[in-house]
Amino acid sequence: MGYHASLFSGLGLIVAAAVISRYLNIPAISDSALLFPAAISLLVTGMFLLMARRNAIAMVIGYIMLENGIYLTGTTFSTQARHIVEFGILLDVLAGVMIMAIILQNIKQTFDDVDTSLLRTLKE
Amino acid sequence: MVELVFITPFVTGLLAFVLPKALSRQLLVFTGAVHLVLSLLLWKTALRPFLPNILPCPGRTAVSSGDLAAVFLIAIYTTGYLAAHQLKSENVFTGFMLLFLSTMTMVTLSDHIMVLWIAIEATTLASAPLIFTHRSGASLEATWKYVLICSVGIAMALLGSLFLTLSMELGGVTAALSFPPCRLWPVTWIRHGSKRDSFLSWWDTAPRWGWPHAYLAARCPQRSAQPGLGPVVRGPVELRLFRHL
Repeated sequence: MGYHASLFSGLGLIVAAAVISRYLNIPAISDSALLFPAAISLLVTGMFLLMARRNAIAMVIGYIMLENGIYLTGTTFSTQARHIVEFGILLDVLAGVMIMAIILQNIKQTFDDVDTSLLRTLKE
Repeated sequence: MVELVFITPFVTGLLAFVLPKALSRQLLVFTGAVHLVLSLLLWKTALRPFLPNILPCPGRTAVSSGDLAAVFLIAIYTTGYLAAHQLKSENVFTGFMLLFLSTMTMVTLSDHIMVLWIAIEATTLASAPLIFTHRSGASLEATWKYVLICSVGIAMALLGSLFLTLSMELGGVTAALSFPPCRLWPVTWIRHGSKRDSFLSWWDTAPRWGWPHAYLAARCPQRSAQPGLGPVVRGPVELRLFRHL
């Protein structure tokens, strides 16, 4: 997807997240009106970035955005699960992103680019 | 102590990274044998959990742990394979193979939903470097796709678990997040439909450990271990989840 279309889609997703969050009545987040829209926006735009981009670095950034969205959702939603979310995100971001970075470096060395459209030899 | 079944391969896996090649091969077989003995003890319910809220009563999942031990006789084959093929990073391969065994055993034994999540995530992370040991273009592609699919899947599972805790909070359920107290959850489930969604997000986005290209691109021992062990590990987890749907 092109950059302009991506920008408009991202804006649309943010607006949709803001509209949806108005209809959800969650007591834990009644104090800060922007917290939930921000969490949902991060989540969906992260997913969108993962699906719409071919550059491996952009995909990793999309994954980190998705994780940030989950972290924000978890810490705002639930008081019980805060430490669990902290640990989960620590494992995901620290280990997962480290492994992704190693693979990225190897993709760059092998294919001389980080474009994932080059990775098309394996198909179902 | 039930925890020894997965702590032993974890510790030996870390040791394998720093030991000489020949010694790490012997360690692989030794750990396989210890794991087999511990799994048999678990089967005989001779071991008791140190953390009973997190690990289930032995016996319920001991069969899959026993299967894991039987399949880990692959370790014996692996030593011969490693001797025949001089791998550049043999220590890394052996270390991750043992960590893979440890995390998979943890998946079969954990009864706390978040411990289960951590074990599944750790299994994905431990198996990714094993796919990449060929260092070819195809193995690189397989690893990239495997890590990305599994990471996004497991991130969705974390979100599902959060909705689960939220539904418990809203429903006023104070039970632990482990499977036995979950029998109280249908009440919460009826009041707040998010429990079903949480479990479905677990189910739908479970890591694709059986993705054929991932293990076809890997080395022979991993190629034999992954498709065989994946269903063994996933089976009891999925059965446990389905029982509550």
